[in-house]
Amino acid sequence: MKTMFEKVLIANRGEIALRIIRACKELGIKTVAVYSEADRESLHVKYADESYCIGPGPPTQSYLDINKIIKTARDSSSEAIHPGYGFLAQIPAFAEACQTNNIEFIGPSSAILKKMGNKVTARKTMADADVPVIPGSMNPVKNKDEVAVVADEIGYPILVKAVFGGGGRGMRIIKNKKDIPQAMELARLEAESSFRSPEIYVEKMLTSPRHIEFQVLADKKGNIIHLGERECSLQRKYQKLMEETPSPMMTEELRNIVAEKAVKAAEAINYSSAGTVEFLVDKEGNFYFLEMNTRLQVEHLITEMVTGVDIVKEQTKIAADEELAYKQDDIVMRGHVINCRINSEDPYQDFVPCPGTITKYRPPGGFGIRVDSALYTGYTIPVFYDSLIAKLAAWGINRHEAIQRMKNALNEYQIEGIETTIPLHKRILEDEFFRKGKIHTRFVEERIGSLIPEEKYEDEEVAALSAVLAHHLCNRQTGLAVIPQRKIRKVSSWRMIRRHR
Amino acid sequence: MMERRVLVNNKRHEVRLLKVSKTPYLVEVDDRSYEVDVSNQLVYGAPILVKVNGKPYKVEINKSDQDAPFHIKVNNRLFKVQYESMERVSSQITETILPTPTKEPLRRLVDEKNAVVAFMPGRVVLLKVKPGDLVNIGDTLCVLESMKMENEITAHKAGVVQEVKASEGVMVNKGETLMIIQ
Repeated sequence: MKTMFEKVLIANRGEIALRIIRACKELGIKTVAVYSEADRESLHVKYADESYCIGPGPPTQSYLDINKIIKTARDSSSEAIHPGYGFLAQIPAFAEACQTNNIEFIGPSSAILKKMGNKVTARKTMADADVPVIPGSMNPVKNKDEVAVVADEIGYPILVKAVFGGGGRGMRIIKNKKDIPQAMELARLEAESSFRSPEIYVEKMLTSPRHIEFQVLADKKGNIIHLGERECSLQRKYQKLMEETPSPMMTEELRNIVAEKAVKAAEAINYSSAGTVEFLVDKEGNFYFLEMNTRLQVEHLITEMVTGVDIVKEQTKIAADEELAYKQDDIVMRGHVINCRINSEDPYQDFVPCPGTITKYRPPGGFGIRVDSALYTGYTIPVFYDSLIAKLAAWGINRHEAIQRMKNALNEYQIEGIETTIPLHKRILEDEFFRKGKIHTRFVEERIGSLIPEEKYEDEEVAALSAVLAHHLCNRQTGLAVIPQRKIRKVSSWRMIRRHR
Repeated sequence: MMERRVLVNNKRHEVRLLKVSKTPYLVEVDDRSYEVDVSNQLVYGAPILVKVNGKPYKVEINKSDQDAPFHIKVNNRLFKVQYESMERVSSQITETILPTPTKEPLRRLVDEKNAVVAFMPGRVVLLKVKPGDLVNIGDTLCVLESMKMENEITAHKAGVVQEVKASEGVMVNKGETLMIIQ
């Protein structure tokens, strides 16, 4: 049996690097940060025990450079690497390189990464393990006739998806037979350019499903537990915006049934580490396996807050061959947590990216509030990386309290110098359907999306005209007033009215 | 008539006061006219109610400064405001010639100038036009990548590409001119 690592390299940046550094410190592990030239002023560089620059800003030359990262790990005598999420977290070649160099990869084996990275293999594996999958093809489809055959069987609309895809890229909706050739061609091209493989497969398109996922933890001794579900239906362009746990639609009974499937899924592939089994839920409440995320997820924090389990610490202990400290019966979900992903994007201008310098930063606080972020006043957000700049989570004894806390927190949160998606989150929290928990993956698009632009420009124009009007009116109607112990000076009528009140 | 250029969160607006003798005032912002009513409690540093085309807005102005930026809150949203140049007085237009207030919802006007500017900082990953090319409104001119997102820059006007200042692979700042369409 291994003992706990003495030193871990974090092959990531931003808030997740900080998250991992904190977990390591609690476990008494020394931390090694790697950073690009664009990240010299980043907090993960300051918080880690050691830090090494691994190249220029573009990710391919730094955070995605397997050789440089392995070399840094060796040079710094790191025993393990935590990949965080994104970048190299699910790249089988990286996990393999770690193994070759006798460095522990904090995550599942490269074989598992490979198996779940291929969506068709994943579907087959799950179907064999008696986990319901979305109706569709169980093999890649080669031509339009094959697509038509599957479509006739499952019914339109259908989706053609990239076998090695994810995040909505390389995906096309097909509503009827005559659209097959063109949609297939486009999906193939996109799959080829994004994932270096033109292979596609077919899935039935569920109308306005919910996205509900289960967090699992599995050690190397065969113990597997689940930490309940997360509802991640609030998305925009297949990117999650807000997550909550428990799901507003969940019952204890249903949770037990679906969680059993999720644990079965992990068992079927002999999974170890933290992982997430994602499901789509149709209007009738049927759960279908969507995919398995073989890494720590962005939204893991909400599960930590309702269960009290530190997922990153558990993941690290599992990698060090420790047995799970929890049994399934130890896991209790208490209260309700909502998370807002705050992005540096302008919600009023079609979400254009807004990298830039933070001129003022004041995070919210109080009971039940957790902010995972690497921002500070004066920090410049680089253009090279993801726009996620903060995760703001609010815990409440129930959903209503969590919503109220989140509203306060969003109002308190001051991030100046750039635009953020905070106004969008505020808007979602006000929505009556959201408050009733009636959400689905097309919710933001259908109920929120188009409302935003007008008002912002209105407000901006009102600010402009108010400035000029106020200035004009106060200059026009000036009088003299005596202010004690000072020189006589002009006082505008605006000010005078205030005095008379 | 008084006309001022105001930068609101670094975006330029032209504001013209067409009628300010009595309420409702008539104000033009970027060629759109509005009827404006201001509640009679006009004070700096406290919320006032401003009605624009009948729609109420809560406005708070902390101070007004000729030379330095100051802040205005509209419906709890904070805007940085700065005057751009000194006021100009025009004698050609009097208060007797008044356009009718625009009834449609307010929206930002499309930039009418010839320059195509980057609306976000990023890297030029693809240039689709060269000098001499004929372009139509909405044609893709180039693709900018920022924060892992690719955004197309489209032509805001029809015309001939006169000059291309950007080149593939280079980083550009927000507001930087990428090309000129004549």
